[in-house]
Amino acid sequence: MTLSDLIDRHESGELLDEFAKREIRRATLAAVAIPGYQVPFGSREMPVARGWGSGGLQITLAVTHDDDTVKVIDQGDDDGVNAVNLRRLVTSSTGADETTTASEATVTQSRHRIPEDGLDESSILVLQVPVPEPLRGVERDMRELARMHAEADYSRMWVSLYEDKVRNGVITQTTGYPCLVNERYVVATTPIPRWDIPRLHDAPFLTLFGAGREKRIYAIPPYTIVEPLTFEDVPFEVEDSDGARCSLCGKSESFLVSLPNSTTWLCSDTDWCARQRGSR
Amino acid sequence: MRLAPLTSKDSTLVFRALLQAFAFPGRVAQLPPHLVARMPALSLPLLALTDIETSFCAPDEPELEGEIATITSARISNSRDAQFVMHRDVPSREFVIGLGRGTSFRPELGARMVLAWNAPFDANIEVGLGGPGVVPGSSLRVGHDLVEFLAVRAEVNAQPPAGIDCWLVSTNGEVVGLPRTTQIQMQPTSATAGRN
Repeated sequence: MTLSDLIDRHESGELLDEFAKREIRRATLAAVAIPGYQVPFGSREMPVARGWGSGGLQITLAVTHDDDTVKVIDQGDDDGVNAVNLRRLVTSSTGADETTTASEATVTQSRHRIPEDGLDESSILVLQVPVPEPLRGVERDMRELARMHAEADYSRMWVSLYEDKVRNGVITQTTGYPCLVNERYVVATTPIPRWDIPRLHDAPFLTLFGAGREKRIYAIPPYTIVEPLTFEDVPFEVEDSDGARCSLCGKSESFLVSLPNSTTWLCSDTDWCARQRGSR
Repeated sequence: MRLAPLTSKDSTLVFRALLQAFAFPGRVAQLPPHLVARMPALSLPLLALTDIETSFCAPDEPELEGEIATITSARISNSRDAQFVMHRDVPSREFVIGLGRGTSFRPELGARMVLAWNAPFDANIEVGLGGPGVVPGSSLRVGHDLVEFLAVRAEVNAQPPAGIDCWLVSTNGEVVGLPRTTQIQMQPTSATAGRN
């Protein structure tokens, strides 16, 4: 690498230098090769605070080039402030085109949701992860956590789920429900809702998880077994909106969210909702 | 010098092909043709992924090994410590056994191997594939020379999550990924089967 290369790169507005990209790419490849394993990486400073999508942003910047088309959503919404700003960062840094339609996107960065439709084998889904460690609630010592993952010792996780069920009558964990990937590693699917968990199982697309604050990357390759942790006699259930329909498109088959202090429901995926109404 | 530094975009394109190959094991991905036309395809993964923080070796390609080290600043190391290993000929059993596999605590330290692949010229044995990224019923055609290597690969990957990951790279830039989680079953049929 020459000095002029660095100057060109600086002037091009790229957010990640070439060394950072290579390191993230090596970690990403390791993550895909070992599904569910949290690969450490040297998380860089980003123009967003850690915990606001810096991990996902770094992955997206490392995998994207100017022939790509990028979609960024936050809470299922393409037009949220965070989504708009991240999309602007990605497109200005990489030269990629932008879209709101998942089927047109080659790289989709998301917080909280998997798009309702449109992801296929050509898609890469990048999820922003605030807390990558699924066992944090049962163990805080990092060395012990490493041992538990290394030995696939998830007994305390099972006990935790059992206690939750006994105390509350149901397993109360909503977003980030723990799942067993490829029958080996328990991962935090944070922060997607239960609704999206079954869609990770045997999915045709590659899912990359980036946690910038905790400096971890993990992955679920396409066509991989993803099983939510549950008991044989306590079936896994997704959120139930009790027959509610979206007040805009009238559909009930997507993930719905209710407006605060209201009985009004809306589709979480705003692009999907707009397409149902024929407005996109 | 046969090799040249990759531009930022070229590195990204090579990485995406390698990522695609790992995401869909056994399925053929394509390295950028304009790069394959200029330099040996076997060297492209190392040019795209290595830098001063990484170690590698290419024991049967000393000339390319030196060029890669010069261009990327990656350290040349012995095969046991190498994070990336490039091999033109099918390596011996002893060589593969001796590669770093990582540990159950740090499986990502297992070696990543870039191996020359003679397909489709010598691909007459069909092997079945399984594991993450593989559509049930998928298969791959390989030559006789790779059969022994695949057997040794299964041996070194027998204690997951430690193990080694491989890319098979043909001279025309076709690349097939075989991450450690990919299971390979030798099948009795041969000669006529197509690739995944």
